[in-house]
Formats: sequence, structure tokens, C-alpha cells
Amino acid sequence: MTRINTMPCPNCNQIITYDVYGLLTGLHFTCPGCAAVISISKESQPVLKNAIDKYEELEKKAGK
Amino acid sequence: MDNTNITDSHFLPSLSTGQSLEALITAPLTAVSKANSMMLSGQAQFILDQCFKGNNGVYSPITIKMECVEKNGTKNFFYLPLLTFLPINNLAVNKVNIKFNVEVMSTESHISTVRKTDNQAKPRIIKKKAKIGAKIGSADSADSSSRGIAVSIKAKQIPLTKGITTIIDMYSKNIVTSSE
Repeated sequence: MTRINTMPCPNCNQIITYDVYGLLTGLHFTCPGCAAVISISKESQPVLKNAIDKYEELEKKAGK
Repeated sequence: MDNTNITDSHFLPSLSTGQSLEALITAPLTAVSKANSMMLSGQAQFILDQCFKGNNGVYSPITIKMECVEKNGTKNFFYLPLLTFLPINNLAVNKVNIKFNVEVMSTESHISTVRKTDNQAKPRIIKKKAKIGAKIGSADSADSSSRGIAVSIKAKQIPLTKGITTIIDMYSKNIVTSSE
């Protein structure tokens, strides 16, 4: 499963495309402009996972 | 003394006696409208509960700590609101299929009985109104012994509201790294 999202690079403002599930599994994403490597910190992983799980529950309830 | 026993009760439509056709058609549509409203309010509540910390009505965003390693090896941190990670879209009812067979139970016609003044015996119809009473038949087959309505609802994602888009845009444009 993938959920593609984007964020601006904190260094050069280029748009970095990343997969939310990939972040959760520890994947790194590289900025196409300045080659900076972006990843999520370990302490924030459970927070993001919890929010995604609850959002998926909401989607299921909505009958998506 | 009037012996009529008046009780406070809810109106329970009896399908066997027939209902007005308008009521049969509008009831599922009203239900769909309510479902749509619930989806939107449910998502708004989710955003408030999961993506913000509330304290006496003042909400501040829950943030996710990100690491950024530059090309030269410098390691920095920056924070992004949790809201920007979730693929939040407004869910709304897109398509509704309501399928049911209607068995016509009764029709009423109101015909004016005003006669012409030129000694003609035939009644003159000025206005004719019809009321149709119906009951629900089977949604899938011609068998009218089982009644039912088949309602199929498809939800679609509509664009985010301007408020949420503005919040996400505001945070996205203000990412600042720190070496911590």
C-alpha cells in the first residue's frame, strides 16, 4: 500500500515526493534539487502511525 | 366524557396500506443527505481530535519531527504538522442509486362538478388532481411478497475546503530547519 504525498524541501523548496507508508517503515526520500535526504525521526513514527490507522478507520466507516 | 385513548406515539408508516409516492421517493434521499452531513462532520472532528491539541478552545497542531541530512552530511531537524501527512480529502456522497418497485395501491382523482350553463348535462372538468398511494415491492424481482429498497451510495473525494488548504499551505511555506 502506498500513499504518495509531497512536501517542500526545507533547504531549497523543491517539491519532494514521498510515500507516507514508506516513511513509517524507515525509508528515506531524496530532494531532487539539493539531494538532501529526508526521513521521519523515530520518536514521531508511532504518532504518525496512530493517526494514519485512525484515518483509515474513518475512511472505512465512510464506506469509501 | 370522551373515552378516546390518546397516546403519545411515533408515526410508524405501514407499508401494507400504502404511502404517498412522494414520501416513498424522498425518504431515501433525506437519509442520503444525512449520511453526507455525517461524513463531513466526522472528518472535521477527526482533524480536531487527531491533528490538534486542544486546550480551553485553543488548538495547536501536533507536529512530526523530521530529519534532513544535507549533501555535505549536516544533519538538521524540522517539524511538520501531522495534518500535512494525512491524505485528507472531503468525503461526500457522489452517486446514489435507489432501486425499488412500487405497487400502486390507490389513486384518487378530484374532478370539478361545475356544470356548464348551456343546459348540458355533462360535467365540465376544470382541474384534475391525482394522488397516488403506493407500497414498496421487491427491489430485485417481480415478487411483491418481499418488500425492500436497494440503496447504493458511492462516496467521492471533493476538494479540501479553503480553510484547511490555507493552513496546510501556510505551514508548508514556513518550514525551518534547526540543528537542535
